[in-house]
Amino acid sequence: MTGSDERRLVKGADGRFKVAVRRLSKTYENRAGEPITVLKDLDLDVTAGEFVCIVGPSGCGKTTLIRIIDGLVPASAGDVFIDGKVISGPGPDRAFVFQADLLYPWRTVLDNIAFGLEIRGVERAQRHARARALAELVGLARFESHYPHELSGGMRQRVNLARALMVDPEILLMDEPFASLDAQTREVMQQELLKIWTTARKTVIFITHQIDEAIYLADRVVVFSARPTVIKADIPIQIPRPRPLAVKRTPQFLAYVDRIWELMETDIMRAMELQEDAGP
Amino acid sequence: MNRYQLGPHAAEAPGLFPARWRGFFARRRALLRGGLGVVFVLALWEFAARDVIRDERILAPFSKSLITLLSLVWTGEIWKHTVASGSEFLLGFSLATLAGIAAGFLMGTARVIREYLGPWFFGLYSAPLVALAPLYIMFFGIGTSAKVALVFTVVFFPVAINTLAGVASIDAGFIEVARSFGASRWQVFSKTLFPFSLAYIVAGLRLGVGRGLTGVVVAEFFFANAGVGFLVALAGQTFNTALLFAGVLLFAAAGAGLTEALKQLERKLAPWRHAAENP
Repeated sequence: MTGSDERRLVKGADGRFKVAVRRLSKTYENRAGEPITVLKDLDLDVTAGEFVCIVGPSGCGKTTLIRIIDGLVPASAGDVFIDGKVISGPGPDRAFVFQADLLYPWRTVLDNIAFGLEIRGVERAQRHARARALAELVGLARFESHYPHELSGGMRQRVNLARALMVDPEILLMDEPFASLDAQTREVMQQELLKIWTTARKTVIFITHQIDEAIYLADRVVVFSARPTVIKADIPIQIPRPRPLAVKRTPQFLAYVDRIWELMETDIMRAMELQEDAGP
Repeated sequence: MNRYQLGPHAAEAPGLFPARWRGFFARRRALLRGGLGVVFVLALWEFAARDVIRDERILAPFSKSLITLLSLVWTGEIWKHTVASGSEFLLGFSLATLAGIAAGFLMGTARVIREYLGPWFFGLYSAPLVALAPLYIMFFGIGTSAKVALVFTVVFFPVAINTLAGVASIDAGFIEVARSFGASRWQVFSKTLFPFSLAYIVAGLRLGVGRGLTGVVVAEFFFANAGVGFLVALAGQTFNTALLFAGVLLFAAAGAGLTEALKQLERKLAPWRHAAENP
């Protein structure tokens, strides 16, 4: 097959990037059986240690993209390369932070955090020792033996983050993890995420629909268009780190907000129209 | 606990009892009211039997039934019957639990099996299967096996259906979390599907307790030479209502005890559900 030659060629070119997405397409079938193209021929590169935020109107396929990168769903066409190798499913180099925290209600905080290593067969004492360190890192040391239903939304998201960090992934894939939190809690969580990222130096791909969240966190903000999705802009954020929360009120920051908002405005309107069309 | 729940009197009325006693009553109010309800009905029974009906062949008073029960315990007569009924029940119940859980998971995870067998399961779940008792006696004879088989039949369906309901109601996200961490198919089952479904399974077992006890009684009505159901049938045929009620009391106690034990088990296995239902 000629495709395999082409693939080898592309593979050689992408070893420089931690994550390389090449000509990725995803087509779903809706309930009526009609094909819906969510992603078409998408390319994206992320270098090691980089914090990339993806923003875009709802329904543009942001979530689909990182689910494919995690290996949870297969692509319809195209490939995802990690360190130059094509992925074929979930792997130990990646961890996913889900939007709904999806903590197991029958497990304590400690056992929820330790879950990933339990799956890998790490013995109990060892995984609990590491889970304790992570509970400490996310500020939940006192709540180790609590159950998720006893925690607030912010605390649950901390456990969710700790659970992903537990397996020491090289790449963190985060799907709007703070979307359900109130504004104050969200800001605290953003700050803490940056603190953790600074020490752990993971490669992060972070989906959000909040422009200010994206700018505050990211080295680069990638703006998606409405469906069929193309990358509208790829904007490096040159705000020096560490970034205190006050940075969100600086003219530089607000200029970024304006720029991205302008890029998104028409697409957001279009996405809303699309949703109305899809409605009853 | 807020004032509203305590009711207006508990908080304000200058009372019969000192304040610290009032707290004691407020905390145990449900238990106290439940106990009073039981005592009231038993007193009503006693009164109706002694002063209204006045015929022990129709209705023996509660005190007489209790004494009959206690004398059965005292003489040791009761053990023969309890062991007979109890072992039939436990054997049938345990086998039905294992088979019901297995069938529930099989149907929950394999669509083909669910679609082929679903109508049978849901149909038989709501059918009064104790009606099979005479047939089972013909099949299995008058020994223990007919009773075990009947208990098995009536307990199996609620356990299977509840297990299936558990599997069906799991958030697909829970399974994705496990897959994202690289869980094998077996791990997805043992670490997410099974623990999630446990609470549903226990609910099925609670349904099964009542049905299983009914199964034992009905099977023993038809043919037996020992067992609490046999005792009740014998009492009915000889118009010994005191003995009849002694047997009924014993069944009621067994049912209440088993249900409570399963409730405790559920609290242990699914503390989050317990918190949601009893805030």
